Amino acid sequence: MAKFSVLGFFLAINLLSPWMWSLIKNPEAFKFDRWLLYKFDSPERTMEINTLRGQSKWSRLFVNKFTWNSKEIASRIAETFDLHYLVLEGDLDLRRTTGKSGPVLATMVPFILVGFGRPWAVPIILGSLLAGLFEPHFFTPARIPLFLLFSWLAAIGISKKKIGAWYWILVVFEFARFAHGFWLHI
Amino acid sequence: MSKFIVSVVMIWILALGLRLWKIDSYPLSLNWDEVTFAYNAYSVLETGKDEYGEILPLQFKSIGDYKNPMYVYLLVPLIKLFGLNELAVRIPPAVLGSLTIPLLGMIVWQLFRNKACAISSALVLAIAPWHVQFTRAGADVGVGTFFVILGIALFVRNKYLLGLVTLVGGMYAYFGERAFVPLVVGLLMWMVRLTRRELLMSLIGMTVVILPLVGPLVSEGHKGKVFMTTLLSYRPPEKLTQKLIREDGKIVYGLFHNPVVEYGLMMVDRYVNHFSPTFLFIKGLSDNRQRIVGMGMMYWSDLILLAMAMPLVAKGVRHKNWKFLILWLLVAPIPAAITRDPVHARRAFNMIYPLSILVGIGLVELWQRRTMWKILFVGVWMWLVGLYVLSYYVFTPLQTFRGSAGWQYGYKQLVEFVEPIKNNYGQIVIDTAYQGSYAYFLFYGKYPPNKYQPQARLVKDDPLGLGEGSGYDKYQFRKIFWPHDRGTSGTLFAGPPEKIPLTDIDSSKARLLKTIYFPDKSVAFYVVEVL
Repeated sequence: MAKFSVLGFFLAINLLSPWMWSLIKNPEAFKFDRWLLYKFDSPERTMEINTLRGQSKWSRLFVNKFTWNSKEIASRIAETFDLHYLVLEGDLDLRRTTGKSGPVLATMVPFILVGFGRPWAVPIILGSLLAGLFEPHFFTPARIPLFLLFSWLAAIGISKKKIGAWYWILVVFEFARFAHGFWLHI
Repeated sequence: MSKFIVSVVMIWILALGLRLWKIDSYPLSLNWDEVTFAYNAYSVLETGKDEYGEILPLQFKSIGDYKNPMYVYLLVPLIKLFGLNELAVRIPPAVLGSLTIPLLGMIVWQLFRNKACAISSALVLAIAPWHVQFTRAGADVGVGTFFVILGIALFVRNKYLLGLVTLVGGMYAYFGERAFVPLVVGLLMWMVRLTRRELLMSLIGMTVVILPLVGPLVSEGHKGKVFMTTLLSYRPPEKLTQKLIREDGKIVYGLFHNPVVEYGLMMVDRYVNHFSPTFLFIKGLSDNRQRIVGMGMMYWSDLILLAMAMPLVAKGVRHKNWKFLILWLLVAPIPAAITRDPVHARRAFNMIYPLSILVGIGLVELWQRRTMWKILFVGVWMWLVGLYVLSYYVFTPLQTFRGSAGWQYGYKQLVEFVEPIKNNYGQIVIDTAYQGSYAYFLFYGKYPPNKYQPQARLVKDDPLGLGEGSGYDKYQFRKIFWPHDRGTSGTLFAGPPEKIPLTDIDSSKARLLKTIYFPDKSVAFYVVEVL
């Protein structure tokens, strides 16, 4: 029964999730053949590295392709956990967001935290690594497996906690706010 | 002396060294905040009045930002001792900022009774890029933070009255503390149930300290400052509002775009931005005065240590001391969350203390692991500290020198060139494109405050912006309009190349006297005389 309710909540949360609606509305913006892989030798980064390396004899110890590309990849991985992206603004491409809400509903975040337990740490870290493979920042398609995982954690969280009616009103309000932006403003 | 005290003293010496090393030349130049604080202190020292002739004020009008008084008055004896120069300006935040390091160790000891955690937290804070950035330069926040940390340290040592009074004293030092101090006072009073007598004495003490500030707090200047800094001054563009009403209809617009939702979300957005891993660990800010090139406000490795501290946080969260630590971290970004900038390291500066404690706890956790992990971690950490030092002294100065958003490089060289030849001209016009030019001429020219006060006049282009002094003696500080100004004979002009184009200088009527360069060899100022 408990598993059934978790599954039910999981489906409901996905149905309410902004990323899902963006995917349904603009599937071509999520198509795999448009995913731009991370470029290790992009001209901008190469120029930045060369500029910094020329500024001191010590620079070579700290600034090189390996360290600077690691930083860039880490920044893409870390963006996954940036609440500004996750619940407030979303993808930089307006075909994948309303720009006024993130891919995940903010009201789900407390449940994700409640549902989180130690065994989930490794899958979450592995899921977040995927974003590091792609060039665009705040790239939603690469994070869909992670969002599914978040939905599952939120479902576990919801099934664990007794939730007052006021909170459901807040959830409905947030979804309605997203939906009005989604259908009326973009 | 115990090993613990020796360790803390050694960490403090390290911290002081990091904050004082080449302090007069890194950051490359004084920004206009530092210069205006210092000139007002010089004015108080010489005349007992601020630059506008106000006797010993509790807020300084300055460039229209109504500065807090504490830093100005702390500078008075230092300017007497060292003179009106870079060193005097930067000593108070550096020395007081370094003192917060042993104080943090003391707070951790009082809260957790764990010497290892106290030492590691102090060490983490001593070398934290975020802390070094704002205690070497950047003025008032480095002073305000000392009073906050001293107040908390006294309070947790059961010196309640003294602690609370010191905390409230921090409100005289930095604007952000005016929002943060009431929150942290509330937290401390929640953590420790004071007796009726202690509570009464504390309230009386705090009231006595805050009373002189009431006048400045309700003044028009302060209200204006609050209005222009906070979200209160934000209004969505009229065209956007009309578009939304057209698309939504009035009812839906009222439901989803009312001020509670819009401003509430803006505040939430600003608040969560301060916990963004990109801001904290990877890229930091784009604002030149707060930026460390190639880094976040903390080291990457701190993220690992924070993660290692989390299980302990989860375990201890039912205890009041742990709760206090977490709530301290959660309330620290509130002053920044209500202001206009999406993320602001200076206004959220109080975050670095609870974060350093958590990182310090993580470090102690790591130290209990296998030697291999320790060696690996120390290697990574040393590499990151090396990158930070290189970035602070080499990379960052070369990218953050320009204009008022940066360190306003070039004014010192300009004043040093213009001052000796000023008597050769009837008028000297300095362009205000980089902002704050009048303050630099007063500061580096050491212009007597008693002569400036009767001439002081603040000019503002934008009612919500900061102003400029209009001029004194032969000096005029304004925008140069070369097609018109090139006909003003007997005048010396100084401005950026876009204001004085060399191609428009007729050699029979005007002469380029000097070019002042930025550190990247681009032109900062042309100094031109019109014959």
